[in-house]
Amino acid sequence: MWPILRIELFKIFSRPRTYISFVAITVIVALIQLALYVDGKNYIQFGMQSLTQGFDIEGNVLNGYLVCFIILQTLLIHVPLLIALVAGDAIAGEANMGTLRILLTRPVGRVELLLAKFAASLVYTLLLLVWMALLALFLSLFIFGKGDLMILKSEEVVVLAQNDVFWRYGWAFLFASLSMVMVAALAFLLSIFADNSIGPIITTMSIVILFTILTTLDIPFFQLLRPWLFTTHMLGWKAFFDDPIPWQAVSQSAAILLLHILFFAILGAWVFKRKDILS
Amino acid sequence: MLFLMGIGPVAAWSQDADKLLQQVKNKLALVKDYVAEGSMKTDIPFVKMADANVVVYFRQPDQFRVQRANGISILPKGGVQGSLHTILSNKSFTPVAAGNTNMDGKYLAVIKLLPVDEKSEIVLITLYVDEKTALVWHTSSTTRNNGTYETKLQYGKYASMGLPDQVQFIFNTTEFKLPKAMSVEYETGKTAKPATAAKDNKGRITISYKRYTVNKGIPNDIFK
Amino acid sequence: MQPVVSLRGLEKSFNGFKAVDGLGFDVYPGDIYGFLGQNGAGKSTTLRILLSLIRPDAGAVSLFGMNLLQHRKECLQKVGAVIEKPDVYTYLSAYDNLAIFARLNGIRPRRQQLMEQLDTVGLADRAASKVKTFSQGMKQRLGIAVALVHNPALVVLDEPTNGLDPQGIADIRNLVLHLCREQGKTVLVSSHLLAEIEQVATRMIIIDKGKMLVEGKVSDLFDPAQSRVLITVSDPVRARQFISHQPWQAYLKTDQPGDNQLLFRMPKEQIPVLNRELVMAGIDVHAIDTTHSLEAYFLSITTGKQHVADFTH
Repeated sequence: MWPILRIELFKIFSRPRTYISFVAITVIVALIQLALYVDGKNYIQFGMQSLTQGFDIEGNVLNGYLVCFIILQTLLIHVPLLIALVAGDAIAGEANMGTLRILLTRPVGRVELLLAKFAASLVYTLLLLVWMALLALFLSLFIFGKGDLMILKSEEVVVLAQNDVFWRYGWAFLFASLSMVMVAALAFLLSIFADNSIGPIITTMSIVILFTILTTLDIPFFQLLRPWLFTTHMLGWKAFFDDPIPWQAVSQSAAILLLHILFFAILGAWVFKRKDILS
Repeated sequence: MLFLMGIGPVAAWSQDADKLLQQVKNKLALVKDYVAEGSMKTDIPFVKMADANVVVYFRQPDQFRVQRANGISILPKGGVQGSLHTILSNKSFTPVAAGNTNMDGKYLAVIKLLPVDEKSEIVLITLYVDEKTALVWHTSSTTRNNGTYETKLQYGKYASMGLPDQVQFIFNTTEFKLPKAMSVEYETGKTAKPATAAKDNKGRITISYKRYTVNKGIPNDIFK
Repeated sequence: MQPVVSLRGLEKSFNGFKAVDGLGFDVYPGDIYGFLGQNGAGKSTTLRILLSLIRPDAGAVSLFGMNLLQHRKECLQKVGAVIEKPDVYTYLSAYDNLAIFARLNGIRPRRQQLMEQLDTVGLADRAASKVKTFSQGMKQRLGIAVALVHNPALVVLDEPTNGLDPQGIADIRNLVLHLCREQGKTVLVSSHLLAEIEQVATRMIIIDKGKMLVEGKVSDLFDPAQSRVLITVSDPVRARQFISHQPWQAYLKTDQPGDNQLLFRMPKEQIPVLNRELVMAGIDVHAIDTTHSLEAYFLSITTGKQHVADFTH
């Protein structure tokens, strides 16, 4: 499988569209950093309004750790779209180009090929997150410095001592990777059914957007649905900034995401093994 | 006669109260400034915050600052009245004695202080004082706008200077809410409030002092 | 001799439409096997089944004596195919495409070897160019280079001349002959044009609606005795009368295609003799129209008219 994986990676990284995501993330992160650098104080004051009515907040609130948190909070719901761009193209794009049938007339197992392609999508996904971590965390720390991380949640404020934050980001990025791998798995599965990549990309985006809206809306019926939506569990990275970390809930979410990935992968392999290649 | 009898003890008590307040003030006057190292425990219902090391600066008459090195501190508006100085210094009161009471195993004199300045934010201060040592163990301040707050003090090796080893500042907290849309939250399914959440909706900030450096001067820029 | 390709009782339906219906044939080593049928007759489906792209509903496929489903990798290792269009990765260079497909076949040719292969199809000077800059003909040649990169024993070409100009068509014809004669490969080539197949194939099959109509050696199928000769004469009654006393009677068909026409099925070389005898007997010959019966037959199915009865040995 290693040679096929290498070929798939070579293909992915030979395409300009692959780099759109990296550029997009760079631009978005840089814009957020610039905005916060120029006008961060006002933004923070606005965000803390309800708190500053009764309290004086002292210290470097707008530090690299908070900037990273703001970036993740803003960006992580959009990254699935970038991941769908490549994962949704994995099979459907080849079907559209006609290269899928050329590939499959080669002495390569279908499941083997599928796994290699999936693995290549995952490598892309993880690289995207590593890139994001580099920019969002390390660059922010470089620009804004270290400090305690204060997070405003709807019903509480959590302040984490600065020497207690870094390892949490480690876990958060790990968890975010799991979420994004799940999105990749979904896009990849949809990609198997389609003969051009627009379909799976749009469908993945739509599902993620729809589920996110359902997760966000504060309507009792939707709240009942929440535990069943993967988007709810994708927010699990935030749990690592709670004190204490709700390990049980977060491992449950991780397990649910993992089950999704497995389900999508197995279903994908099952379908692909039987699929008639008509493209 | 009846009138005299009625007024006599009050006057006597007032005199006692005056005297006691003066004793207290004299004791506080021993300290012109201090820098103290200690740890701060923040216990506000909706704030989760680890204990932190702090440096506390004070300078007469009422400059007071709690600084968390490189860190963030969340303190009630107007600053923590973490020192008696800031409560009593530079202000004129009409003291009224209000008898004695037992509190935390101590027999303490109760003095009510009415600000002379009618526009004062503070409406009433109650001091609970140990008459023998002139140390204040408990205060309660009623403000015009910010409700009532209390301080509880404990003394140890710096008692001779009137400096406490520990000050607990107790204040009311109003319900704190962020508009929900600002952040989508991860819900863990647990409905129980965090263990630190007090049932009485009061916040407590406790500073335990380890070391005082007294009357060595403080640079101005500490207080901005 | 063991067949290179052996298909038995293949069936495949799509949403109730029977694309392949009980098809079976054998391709032997060294054959250039023509696979003929009009568009939609089931050629592509059959070739895709042969390459494991489509699963048959029923039937057996074996390549080189091995069951395709059970020994897919071993089978495909020896096959090179261009199915429909010669699609490759347009965002990669010609060289990279060739290298990738070689790797997928488990071989790692040296740069020199790959460049030689590109040179064979006349693309050596464009090796580093992205395929999206190539013309249709260049893509076609690259597609063939890709199909042949691992030196397969069986080459499957699906409608290889589609969309090519006359020169391109001639190049393909020469390539097929070269692969078979010089390199000893077996070639399975499909087309919807009889003339194309006739010129290169050693054996052929004609299918329609997923069924086999005729199969055999091209030299047998194009038996010159099977020429269909339509003669237009001035007086058909007299002509018939004259012929009834001659050996020509054996060639005369009973059907009457037109008012002044006689239909024969006869060897081509006899036509001048018949013509001369008719004229000498005072019967004016206005026109002689010959078609090979297989051609006529194929033409009839491709134009939708069924004249199966017309083609009987």
